[in-house]
Amino acid sequence: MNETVFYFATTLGKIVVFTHLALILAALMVLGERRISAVMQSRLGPNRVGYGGLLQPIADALKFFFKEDVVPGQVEKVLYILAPAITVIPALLTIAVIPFGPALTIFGTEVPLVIADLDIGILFVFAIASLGVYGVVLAGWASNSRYPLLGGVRSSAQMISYELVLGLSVIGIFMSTGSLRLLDVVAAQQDGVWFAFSQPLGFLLFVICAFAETNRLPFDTPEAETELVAGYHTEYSSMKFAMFFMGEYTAMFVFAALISTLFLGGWDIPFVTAEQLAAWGNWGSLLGFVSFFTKCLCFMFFYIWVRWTIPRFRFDQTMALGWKVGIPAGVANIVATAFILLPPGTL
Amino acid sequence: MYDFMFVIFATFALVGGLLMVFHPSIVHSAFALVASLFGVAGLYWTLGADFLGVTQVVLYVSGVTVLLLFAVMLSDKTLGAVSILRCAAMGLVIGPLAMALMVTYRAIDGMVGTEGAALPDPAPTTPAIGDLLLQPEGYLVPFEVASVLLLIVLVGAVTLARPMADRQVSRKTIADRADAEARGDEGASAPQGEGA
Repeated sequence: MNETVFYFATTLGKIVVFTHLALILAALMVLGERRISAVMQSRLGPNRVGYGGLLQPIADALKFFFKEDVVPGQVEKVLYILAPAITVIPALLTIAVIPFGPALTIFGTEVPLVIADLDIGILFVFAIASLGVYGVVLAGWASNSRYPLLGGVRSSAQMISYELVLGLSVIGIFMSTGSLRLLDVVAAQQDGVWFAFSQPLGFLLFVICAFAETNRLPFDTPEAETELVAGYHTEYSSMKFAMFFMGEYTAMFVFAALISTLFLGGWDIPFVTAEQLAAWGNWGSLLGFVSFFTKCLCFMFFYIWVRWTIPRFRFDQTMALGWKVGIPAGVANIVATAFILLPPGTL
Repeated sequence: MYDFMFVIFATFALVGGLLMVFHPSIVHSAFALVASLFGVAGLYWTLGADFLGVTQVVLYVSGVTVLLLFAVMLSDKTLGAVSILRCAAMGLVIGPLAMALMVTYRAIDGMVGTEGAALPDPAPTTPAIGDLLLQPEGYLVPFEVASVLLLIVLVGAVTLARPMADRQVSRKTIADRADAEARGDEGASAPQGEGA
């Protein structure tokens, strides 16, 4: 087979499979959220559509499609319509650099299970993920109404603050790996310990930021129901509202995948070395893929668990945590890592 | 392929820039600036400067511009449109000047005898940048001096803005306190209902 055609075919296949995986998982997570919160509150939750409520996401989607799409008169039309799209696109784009498993061998050619193996993978993730804030800001401003604007302003302040902490928290990893490539990060963890253990402070900071960047409780002041009605998406209805949902849950999946990759060893299976996994061929790749997804699912459960356990922070508390605790701790982590990495005898 | 990407990103940069200059609403202008900066980041990328392109997005597209938007959104919406005539006049002066500068540079370059370098193969640039910054003969000192300069500017800006802000804040807190006292007991006893 022609090499170029093969390359295009596999890449296209990977794009289709991975984006759909993320979207399906996002839909299932909405269901999971409702079922798990129901269990935590001694209720049943949606269990009527399909087996145990499994088809509920489809029913929800159909409902969103058939609802009337109300566009209030006072909005800035173009930006108002653009905002939901800008929320979804960055979340889906970041999937491009996340390695889902060890390379598959198809017709004798190695196909890495990552759409684009960028040399600056993690920087790409941060760059694109930070564009998501524009969806929120645009929605808040274009709605031309009070609560959305407040939500948008809060959200942009929060996301900017926590982006700094997010960036600082992973620098330790790259100091020990010596590379920004996500495949190298996974390889380093297969050889040594997971970064969750060797970089505990960075791990903690990253997890906190994952909550803040996706506007999840306890950091959901941008859409605090009790204060702001629904925050930045108050004026949205029908499928546009659903797109905010999709974007938010896809972003949560992306962060779960990032945490698995950066701190939990990626597709690494405890006590199984990279060579052993490679010896199993394509079955080994599949096993790695399953391992990666198990980690993602565990973290997504953690997201839901925290949401229904911890109450919302006040806005000034959120900001104080980001600037006064997060940033100094991030810098301290970098300095400490630098000292540990110093070859003995240099000081 | 690269030509195709170039056209897309150049369109982003140019249309965004034009919109930014000519749009009557200042918030729309800020959003157009986002598109323009994003286009420029893409152009870096097509030139093989991947690190620079991503940094452009991280710093300018999402960092600086969000702060700018933040300020603009909170400022007065009825801010008058900037006179297009004045912009056009400035463009007429600055555009030819920049053009002349580039032409002169090319001419001097041509006299020395260097041809325009061929586009390098897209290769990772991160290690090279790191070396340039941190090696003993690298550019660490100029880099740090530039950051100190930025810090000075920042402190200066805060100092300049301070007296005004101080007055406003103190006035606001007094009003807030009066408000809180007036509402006082009501707020405390209100039921704290939570939606399902």
